[in-house]
Amino acid sequence: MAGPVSLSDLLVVGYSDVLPPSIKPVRLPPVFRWRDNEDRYLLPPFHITAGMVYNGTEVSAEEAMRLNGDQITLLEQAWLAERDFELWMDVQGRIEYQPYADVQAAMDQIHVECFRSAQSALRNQHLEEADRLCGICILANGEKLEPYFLKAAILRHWGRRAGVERLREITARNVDQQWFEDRLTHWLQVIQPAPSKMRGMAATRARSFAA
Amino acid sequence: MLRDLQNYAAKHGLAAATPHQFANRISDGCLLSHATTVFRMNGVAAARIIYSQREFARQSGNPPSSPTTETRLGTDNDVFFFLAPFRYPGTNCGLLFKRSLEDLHSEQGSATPFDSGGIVDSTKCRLQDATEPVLGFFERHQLTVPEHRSYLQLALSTLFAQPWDYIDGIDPQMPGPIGLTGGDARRWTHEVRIPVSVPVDQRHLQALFVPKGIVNRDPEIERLDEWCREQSIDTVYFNSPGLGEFDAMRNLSIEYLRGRLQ
Repeated sequence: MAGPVSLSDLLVVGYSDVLPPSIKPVRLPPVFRWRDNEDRYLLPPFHITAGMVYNGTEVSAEEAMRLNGDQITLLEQAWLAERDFELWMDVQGRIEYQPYADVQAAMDQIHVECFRSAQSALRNQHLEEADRLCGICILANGEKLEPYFLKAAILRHWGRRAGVERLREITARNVDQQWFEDRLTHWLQVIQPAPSKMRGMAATRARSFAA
Repeated sequence: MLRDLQNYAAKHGLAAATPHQFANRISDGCLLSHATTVFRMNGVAAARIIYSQREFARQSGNPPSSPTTETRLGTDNDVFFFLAPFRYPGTNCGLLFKRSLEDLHSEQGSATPFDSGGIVDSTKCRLQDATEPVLGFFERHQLTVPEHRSYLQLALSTLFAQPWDYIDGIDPQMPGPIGLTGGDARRWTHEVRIPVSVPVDQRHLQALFVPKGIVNRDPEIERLDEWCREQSIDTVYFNSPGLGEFDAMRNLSIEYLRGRLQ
């Protein structure tokens, strides 16, 4: 295990993990290389505090090359490591190294846009697309709950009870069962519109949640 | 090897009058952990099989271009587990298997009371006798499965301040007779190896650990999760993504194992 290393001595040259193409946007645990020594790499897990990297694992270039494509991904591009910066991949698969705040803002924006698209896809009965977009929303910001409810409605529509239960469990720390059911029912009514007499009521209810 | 440990304990006055009750419980009931990356878990979820490095390479038509730790030790055709919480850094998905998996492979499986990969890379673990060939050292410390659990039981009762330290990843008070220094908790974590492949099936699988963002986005892992739920196999989710994933998974697996073993 490497001792504390200053970020100012390091380059970002890759990330830990090799990701399937579907997994984006995503924050990436960086792989570092010493600026002045091409044979020294620093791998996660580590902790970064006040510009210092603690408890990383140092490996040689040979070992890093061996791990490349299996446990880590080395990139063509390198960045000077900086305090309060984060490596991430956007929805198009572009990799950026930016300040935390910018990454968070970009992730939030992706969440907003994808959720809007997911609702549109749902209204057009493109359920697979809506499901995919919900997955992107959750990757972008797992704290916002509405995509979980929308996804749960799709899974219930498809008869995937186990998937609905997973989403119920994941959101249970934030909302009670009744709330989960209410939101799921709301989105289910978009997939399976209620009979015409009921439509007005459903719409009123949807507006009240939106408010 | 068990006798070496008994002699070591006697020599250092460590022999417990009676085995600690939790030493029995942990050594007898500890689950087998297999941690991996999202990429690998996607493949495991699709195939419902964990393949050895050699078998994976054979199937993908992509053999390693240079010697690996496993080819050096001759373990490249094994599937690896720790008899412990998840301890392989840089991973973010995991499976816990029941002891029955070991019992089923008592003829073919093998174990060492340390992470075998750690002894190949001197930046991880160092042999106290630096002149001893690594392969010889490795072969000298092979244990059968599930009998290696008897060794663990004695180690928990004698070397550790308390048996739970093994689960929590806290170093033993005494190093024991093996002669390894450096590295992390993997220096004294039992590794279990099962040849060629291990099916991910309801007989032996106990729990799936996966990040929330991944399980709701990766279709293969999502299907594995739903299958686990239908089979009453436990599922554990944690926040994703980023630097803290491995820590989150490891800590949850410690909590999970403590809950089952206490």
